[in-house]
Amino acid sequence: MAFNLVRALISRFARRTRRGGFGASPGRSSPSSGRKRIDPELLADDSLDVGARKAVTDRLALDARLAENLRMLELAAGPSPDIIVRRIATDASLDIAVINLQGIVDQERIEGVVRAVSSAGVASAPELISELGAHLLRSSHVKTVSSFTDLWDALSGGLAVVLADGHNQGLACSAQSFKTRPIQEPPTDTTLRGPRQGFIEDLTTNLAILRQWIRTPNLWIEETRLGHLTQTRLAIAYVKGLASEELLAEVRQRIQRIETDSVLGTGPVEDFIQDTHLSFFPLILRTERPDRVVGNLLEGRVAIMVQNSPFALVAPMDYGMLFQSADDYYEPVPIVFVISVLRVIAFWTSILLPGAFVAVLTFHHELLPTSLLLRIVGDRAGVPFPVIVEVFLMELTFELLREAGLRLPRAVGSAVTIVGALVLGEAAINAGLVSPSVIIVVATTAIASFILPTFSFDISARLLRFAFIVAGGSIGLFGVQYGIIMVVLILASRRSFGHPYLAPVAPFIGGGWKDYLFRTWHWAKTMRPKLTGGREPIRAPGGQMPRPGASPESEGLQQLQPEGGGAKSKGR
Amino acid sequence: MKMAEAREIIANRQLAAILFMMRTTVVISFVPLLTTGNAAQDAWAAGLIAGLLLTLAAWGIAELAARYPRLTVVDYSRMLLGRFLGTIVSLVISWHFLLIAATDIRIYAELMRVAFMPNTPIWFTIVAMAFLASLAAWFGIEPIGRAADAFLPIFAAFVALTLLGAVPSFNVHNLQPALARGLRPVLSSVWTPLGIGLQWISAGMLFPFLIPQNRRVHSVVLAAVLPSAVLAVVAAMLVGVLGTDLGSKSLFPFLKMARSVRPTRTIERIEILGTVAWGLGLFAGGSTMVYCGSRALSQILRITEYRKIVPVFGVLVALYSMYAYKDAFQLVRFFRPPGFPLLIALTAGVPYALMWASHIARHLLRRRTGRQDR
Repeated sequence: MAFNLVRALISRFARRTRRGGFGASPGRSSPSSGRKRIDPELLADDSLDVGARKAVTDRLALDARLAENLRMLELAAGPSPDIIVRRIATDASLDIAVINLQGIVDQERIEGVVRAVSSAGVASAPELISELGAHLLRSSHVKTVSSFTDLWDALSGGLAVVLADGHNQGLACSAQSFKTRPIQEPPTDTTLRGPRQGFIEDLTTNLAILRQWIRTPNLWIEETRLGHLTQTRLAIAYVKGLASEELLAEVRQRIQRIETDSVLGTGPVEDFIQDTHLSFFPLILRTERPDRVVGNLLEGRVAIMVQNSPFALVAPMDYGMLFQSADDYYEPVPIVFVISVLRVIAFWTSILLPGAFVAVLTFHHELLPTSLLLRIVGDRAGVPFPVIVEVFLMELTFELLREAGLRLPRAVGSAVTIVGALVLGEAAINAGLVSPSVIIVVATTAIASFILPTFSFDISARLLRFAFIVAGGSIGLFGVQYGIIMVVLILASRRSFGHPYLAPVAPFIGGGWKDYLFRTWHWAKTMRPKLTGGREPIRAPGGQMPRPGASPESEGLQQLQPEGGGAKSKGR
Repeated sequence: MKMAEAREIIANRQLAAILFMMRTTVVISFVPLLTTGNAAQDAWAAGLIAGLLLTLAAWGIAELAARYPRLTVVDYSRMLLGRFLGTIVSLVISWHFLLIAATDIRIYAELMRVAFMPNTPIWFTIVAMAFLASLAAWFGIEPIGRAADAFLPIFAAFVALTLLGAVPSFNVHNLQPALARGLRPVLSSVWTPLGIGLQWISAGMLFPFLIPQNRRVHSVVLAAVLPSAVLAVVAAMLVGVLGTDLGSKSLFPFLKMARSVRPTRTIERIEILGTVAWGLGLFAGGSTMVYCGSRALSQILRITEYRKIVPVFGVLVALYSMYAYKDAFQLVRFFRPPGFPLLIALTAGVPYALMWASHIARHLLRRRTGRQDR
């Protein structure tokens, strides 16, 4: 019977309890707001499934009797050993409980709360709660809890909750002390000259890092919770007045649309909110680097961060961002320009080289210079496979080695990759199974693919490479060209949060090339990107190029000269 | 998403890029052969005159479209010529899109067969390219425009590199004596390249999607000027390298020229550059034509979503391309004057003349009525 009642409750309340909203309080539902109270003993029914249990707990309000509230906690959370309840009896015979979850609170602060509760010289429970909030615990962040949802949110958030017999409200006060790993350089995005700082798994710390980088109050952060079981914290960060309101509305709407039981990191969020699920290129940037996130926020983009994930998602993304590395902004511009060009060449080489090689050797020998053709054909003499099989096998072997290197412990992984590549390559040539030219092509392709700074982009390139080998091996260069057109067309049809993905190449946006191929000096970056920074297009005033007149030597000369001379030289 | 679902728009620059690539692709496939046929060493002059006339025609098409900036040619043809005649004109225009897409694909397929893949059945290339064009049309004009943006620099660079590669083999004596036979043979070679300018009717379909609005006519006209200059240069280069005789007899003179040169010791062959450019240009042109054709047909048939027509139109393009021409020589015969220019003049020139006449008449009538009212 109880089961049926709960089922009915689910259908009525599940929908409204699932959806969070930005700025909504974590507790969301307030069962004490005039609705009929529900009996916590319903939770004793073991046949309730998790949805039914949630429907019940969402309706539970705190009772005036402390024993009832503790029973409610026991029924809802079970015999969990990490729930610590301290019963305190005050001089005025008040029965009080201080509750917290072990491991996520600071013991000293808990002791402080206990001391404050013990020393409160009030006669009634409501007075005690009000006195604690107003005076005794005023140095800490406090809030009133009146429902089980509020109570549990506070506990799981690292707060200590004070409940007193005789009052149907409790007081939650901050006592958090989460254990997190230290801030380190992210292994997926290292830099030579940039800061050695990466996000960690704690959202609060990550948001604090952002605050250290951008000190304006216009850095706005909105928070919500996702997953009706995991209640994962998700924050979107943006610079108010820079990010377009249309983009923000779109981001909020897509996140609020998510209805799931769990969100384990940024991957699932990305799956839910990206523009299409059939894209083999990443449509949202993932990065562990705060400087990269900050750079994008200052260009009018939005960052999405999730509790328990060191990765931030940045939207909208464009193709040019895939070629950016953190070091690009810390190294001399001419060098970065050359490296940027190299990266673009490397990307297309890593995709096209094996396919084009197979196509030329299979169908279009005439395109090779005669001497080169003779050399390659001579090397291939005796190889029992057609060139497509040869290249395919070697690429496959290389991918296997790469995966093996990734999964094995770091100390062994590199050894396996190197030994595997050397031994296998050498042995394959000696056995006459592959020709040296194929090894060169596969090795060049591999090196080219390592140059790409965005790992998710590299995976896409690896998959495409195989498609191009098949295309080149079956219909020659026509197939390769067909594939290129297809890739460009598909990329051109993609959007990231409404912004064309292939920008600044297509649509051609001249200014956007400063961050794609032609890196420019920081003093020349006077404008924000056209597509995302349109609300405040001017980033800095022009005319800041360093001039010889401002060199230290001339400054020193000016200081040595008398005032009149100095003024004269300034006037010049 | 609202931002993504907004009405399709493309930049004037993108349409100009599409038209440039579309025109230049045909220019570098057949046109020199057709022009050199009569004009011999003066092929370049024929190209220039054809370009001048095409610029005028492009202006006529764009200017009429500019008078009805929110309407496609299907809409205003019915408005100007009446429902019955307008629908017939719209159907003819749809057929033009089919004709251009199918013919361009067939040219490319023949080229691939002659140049690179003699054993691959021609239907395979045709179906593959028709599928690609249909896929692009299904994605919409925005991705086509963006792809054109991406491909234009490669296209231009490859054509330029092919021409540069041929410079060492260029013999200026092949172009002499200039205009020695008078203007008559030159003028007789003008009509086919001008007829190929039928491609510009796509501007009539795409006009409502163009931004910024104040530069639309300018872009469409400019897109006619640039490929005409390319046509003149290519024609001059071809005759200079191959000579008048070989230039007029080769099936694909540009390919012939690219194959006949050996720029350096290490770079022996450069025809791949031209072929890649061909492919890119064909994609831009074919997909635009399938898009325009599908949109036109969907408007005629009152189907709100043009994408429903795209697969049908794609199949029609493939079938037309396969069965309308027996071989490459029939393609050349199709383009030969007076048949082809006459066909285009009747099916595109006359309808546009009628639409212009109707527009002017309506305009004058409105002015007169306005005066009487005053």
